[in-house]
Amino acid sequence: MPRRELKSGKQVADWLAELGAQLKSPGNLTLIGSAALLWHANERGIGSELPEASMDVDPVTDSDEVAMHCYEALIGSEFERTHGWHVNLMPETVLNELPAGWQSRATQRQIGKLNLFVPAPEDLLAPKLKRNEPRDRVHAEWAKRVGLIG
Amino acid sequence: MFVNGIHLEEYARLEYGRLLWRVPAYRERLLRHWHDPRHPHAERFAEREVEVARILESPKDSDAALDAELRQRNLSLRAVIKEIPSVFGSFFE
Repeated sequence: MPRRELKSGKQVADWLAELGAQLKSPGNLTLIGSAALLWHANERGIGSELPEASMDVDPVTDSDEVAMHCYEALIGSEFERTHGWHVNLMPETVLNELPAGWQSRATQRQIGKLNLFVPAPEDLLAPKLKRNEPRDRVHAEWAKRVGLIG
Repeated sequence: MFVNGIHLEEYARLEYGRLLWRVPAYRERLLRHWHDPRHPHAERFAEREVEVARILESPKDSDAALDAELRQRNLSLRAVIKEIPSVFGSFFE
């Protein structure tokens, strides 16, 4: 039975592994939002589930091939029916909301032909805390509790 | 959140629409989807296809010039972006 929401970092890592394996040409993807926090948790072996689970992943890409794969996972897609969450491409401008210099603090990984960038947890939380909705505060508290931020 | 006064989610449709419009096979797929009778905005798209295609063909850095030109015709970039139909995953074939 598939998970119906995005709660664990493994779900994000599995999707990225699948995407990386499908690419025929190199492509960049920057992951932001709560899915990116989950990815960091998975990288550090933290299995704690995200409270106030997310229904989507928010990537940014400049690759048409990556974008095409993301379009196959839009809301209402077979991907969403299978996974219980969908992919919501965000414009590059959204990265301007991250604190200056985020690129130098980001984690980079090569997954097949996918060149993945994930901003540091503190940088991911900055726009959330600026927005300061209850769900954003819950995610910040979770990140602190599981040790993603100091 | 807004980009040049345009809601982020709507601007994403322009940004990725431009990116994918450059791929002929994908452009055809989008057009088939937007003309599909199952698409709730198919008729509306047919009426506005020329303007929508024009902004999707435009270069990434042409927003200001495009908006100025559209405003001379009582349109705006924001208004035309709203006419880019959504893609419905349930029948995007």
